[in-house]
Amino acid sequence: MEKDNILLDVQDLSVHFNTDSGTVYAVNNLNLTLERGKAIGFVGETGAGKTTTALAILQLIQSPPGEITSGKILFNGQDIIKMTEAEKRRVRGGQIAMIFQDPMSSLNPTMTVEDQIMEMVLLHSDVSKKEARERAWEMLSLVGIRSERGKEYPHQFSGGMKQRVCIAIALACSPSLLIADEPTTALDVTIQAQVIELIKDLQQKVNTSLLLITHDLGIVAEVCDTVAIMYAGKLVEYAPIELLYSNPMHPYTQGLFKAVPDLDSPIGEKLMVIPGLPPELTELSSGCSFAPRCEQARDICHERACGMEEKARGHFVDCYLFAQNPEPAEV
Amino acid sequence: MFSLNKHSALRYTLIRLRRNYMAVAGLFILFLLIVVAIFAEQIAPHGYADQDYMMILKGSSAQHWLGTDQFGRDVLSRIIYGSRVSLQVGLVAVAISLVIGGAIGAIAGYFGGRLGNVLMRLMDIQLAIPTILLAIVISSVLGPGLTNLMIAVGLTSVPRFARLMRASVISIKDMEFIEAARAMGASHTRIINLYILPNCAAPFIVQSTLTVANSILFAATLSFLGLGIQPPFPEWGGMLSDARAYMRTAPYLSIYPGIAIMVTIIALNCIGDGLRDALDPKQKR
Amino acid sequence: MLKYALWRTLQLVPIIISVMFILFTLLYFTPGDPALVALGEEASPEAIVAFHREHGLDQPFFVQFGNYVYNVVFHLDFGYSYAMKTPVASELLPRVPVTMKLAFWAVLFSAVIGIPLGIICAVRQYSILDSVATLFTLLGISIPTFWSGLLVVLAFSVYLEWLPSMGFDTPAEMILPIITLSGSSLAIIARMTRSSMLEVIKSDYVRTARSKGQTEFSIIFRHALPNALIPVLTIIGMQFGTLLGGSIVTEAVFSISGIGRLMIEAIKMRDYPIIQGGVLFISVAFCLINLLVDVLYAWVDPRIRVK
Repeated sequence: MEKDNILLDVQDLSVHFNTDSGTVYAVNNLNLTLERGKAIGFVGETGAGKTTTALAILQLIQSPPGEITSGKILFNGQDIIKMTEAEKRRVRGGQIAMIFQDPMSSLNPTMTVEDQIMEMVLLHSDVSKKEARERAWEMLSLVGIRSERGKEYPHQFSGGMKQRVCIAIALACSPSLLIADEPTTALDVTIQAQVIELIKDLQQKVNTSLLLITHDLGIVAEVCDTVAIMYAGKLVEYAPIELLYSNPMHPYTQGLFKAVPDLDSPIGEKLMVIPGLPPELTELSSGCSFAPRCEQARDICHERACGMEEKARGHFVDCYLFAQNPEPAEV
Repeated sequence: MFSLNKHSALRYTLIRLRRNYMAVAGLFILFLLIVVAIFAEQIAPHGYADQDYMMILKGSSAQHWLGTDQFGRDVLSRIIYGSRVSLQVGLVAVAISLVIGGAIGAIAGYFGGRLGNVLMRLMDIQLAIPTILLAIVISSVLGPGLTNLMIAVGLTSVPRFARLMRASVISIKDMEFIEAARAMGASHTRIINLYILPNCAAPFIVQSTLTVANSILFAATLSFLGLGIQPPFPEWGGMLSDARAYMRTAPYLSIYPGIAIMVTIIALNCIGDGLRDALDPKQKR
Repeated sequence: MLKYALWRTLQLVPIIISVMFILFTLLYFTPGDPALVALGEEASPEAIVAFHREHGLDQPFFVQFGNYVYNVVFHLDFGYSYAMKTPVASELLPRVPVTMKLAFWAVLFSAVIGIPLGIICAVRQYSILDSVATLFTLLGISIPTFWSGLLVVLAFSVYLEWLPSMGFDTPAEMILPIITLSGSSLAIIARMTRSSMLEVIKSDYVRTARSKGQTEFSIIFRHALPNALIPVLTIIGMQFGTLLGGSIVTEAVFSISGIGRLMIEAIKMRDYPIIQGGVLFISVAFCLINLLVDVLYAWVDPRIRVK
């Protein structure tokens, strides 16, 4: 991996929330890299810390009660955390844009759709209102909405179309990184496919890198180049998709794959579940956080977490189960 | 809902309420007020109608801590007895509006249709008249006196409770456990009393507290205007009305009864706000 | 939009007639014979009968009611005050502008001070300013208007002698009554604005605006405020009605010759036609204001306007 090619480099990121009921350790010592033009899938259950990581990248964590307690977020080599507020605002939307999970509530009900796209354009480029409006219409066409509809209000659009508007807003200034937080979870299955197609399409057209947060392994397979699996605030596995899908190593990842119903399996066969529940994030255990639910857990797993290690070429896992790859990975 | 096992709603609410210092202070003041009202005879240094001709319009003294009024009556004692009137009006008025409004709202919500519409229209008509004016009209029609005051104030709050009850009933009515009860053969009355009402309790408790405060304010206003309680019975609003003529000579007469009203209403509002926060599952902090 | 306004106006008619009916009925069945009020306790039976005939008091109930409605709607004739021996309208109508002025200025004051206060408290939640303002709004809703009027007169007229304590003609005379009357509605509007803003600030579309890199200032004024003010609008309309009622007390304290003071005199003298006329007038005004607010609300909120 060449250094120049790395767009986003998250190093040792930890995010904690100080609440009345104690500290919530939402994200712990996370490491992640993303190359230009590539797409990474960020997979995990609800509450695993994926959205928190995304918000941390955009520096949108509410500062009480949340705080970033360690780590760096290097974007194009610069640490976002250390930027001034004005610099952060320039990055948001201009270089890193985000679309959120629930399109129904993500748009301002009292502003027209084109105004909301124009706002993005006017914030990051020095153009006239007329030019901004034209750009807004361009973006609407790009996402498959007639530009005449720009004067309408969000409530006049369906869920899928609202999400397209959000995509139009996010890509209006051609950001280098698009973060999509479960963009299709709130939509009908048929619309899901359309929106994912759109995102894939635009990602290639505009040459944006993509950080796609989802719990759907199928979508990840379609769109992403690498995958990161997250559990209880930590990354547990990280690999290019071919490697991950052909050889999932971490027991949690294996559990996730097994839980996906198989069209070929005999009728009446019980669905596989991972027994137990994810841990409360208010206690940081020194052992592996998945150990209580892991069938293959050994004593050492409960005492000390393994840490992410490269067990195969480009394939990182946080687990004692796999031998070290004797071949050192090429840098 | 009313069990006190470890994770019941009631216990949780009480814990949250206890954390709210203002609400706790309010409860304490309310408690004091109730004690004072009940034991007025024992606490008050003088009777509320005892006139002392030697001490007309005199300020604070050893005998009369808060001074005397134009008839030589002890202000402190009158304020103490006045608490009895205020609390009575507050509680009875709320009871009236709760029962009548609750019944109307429950019927309108549960049975719906024509009947429901008509009932709610009636409430709308009542709401078209500003509440204080309605209280004045009812009061002047019924005549003076404590009972009539309670009725007048109570009736004005009926629509609020009716609407609240109707909304609660409608939200619960279509839930499946009601269908199950109906399938069991439960009568309408049983369903309303056993299933629906207990689940509507939370907003009612809050609204009742705030309505007690409102009723006391109304009662004071009506007495101030000359309706309601007649002399020599002491009512805080009435005392303030009398005080107007003596603003230059005895300004304290305009102050003390008002403080009594203010403290009572603040306490009730704090309790109401505290209850609202404690009962709202979405509230944090 | 226009259709909505017309439809709502039409709905008002049965309500107003019902209000008239309720008021008319209440006062119809009040004990006391108007003839005795007008002619005195010693009047002869013949005089009483003549009086009844002259004022249509011997007609059946519904005929009397029908006449009443007709007179009010087409002639602005609210009946006859037996105690004052004049038509109600001639006492009532001249006082209308005064009360309307008082209520209007009070609402304006409450909104102009209350809304910014609410916004500041929401944006600076948990700050000292927020706590102090919350305390003040608590006082605002807990202090009866008539008492704050008395206190304000005590302070500014009796002791400091800065401002007059009576009347409503010069600006100096207007200051104290307006401040007094607006006390509680200012508190309510401030509280409502604060809670509405807090809710809106936590909403998803504000988060979207932040992710665009928008400044806090723009977020508050372009995104949060327009959405937060919509429910506040309804409250302001309701407050106008409360103020119309509350003006009674303010007019009493400051000796202002508006409808309120007329009503107080009428209460003392048991002059029911005046009470009836005054309450009816204010209720109709209240209904119209609410109608206006509803229509305004429907216009301001795109979700309703564009259907």
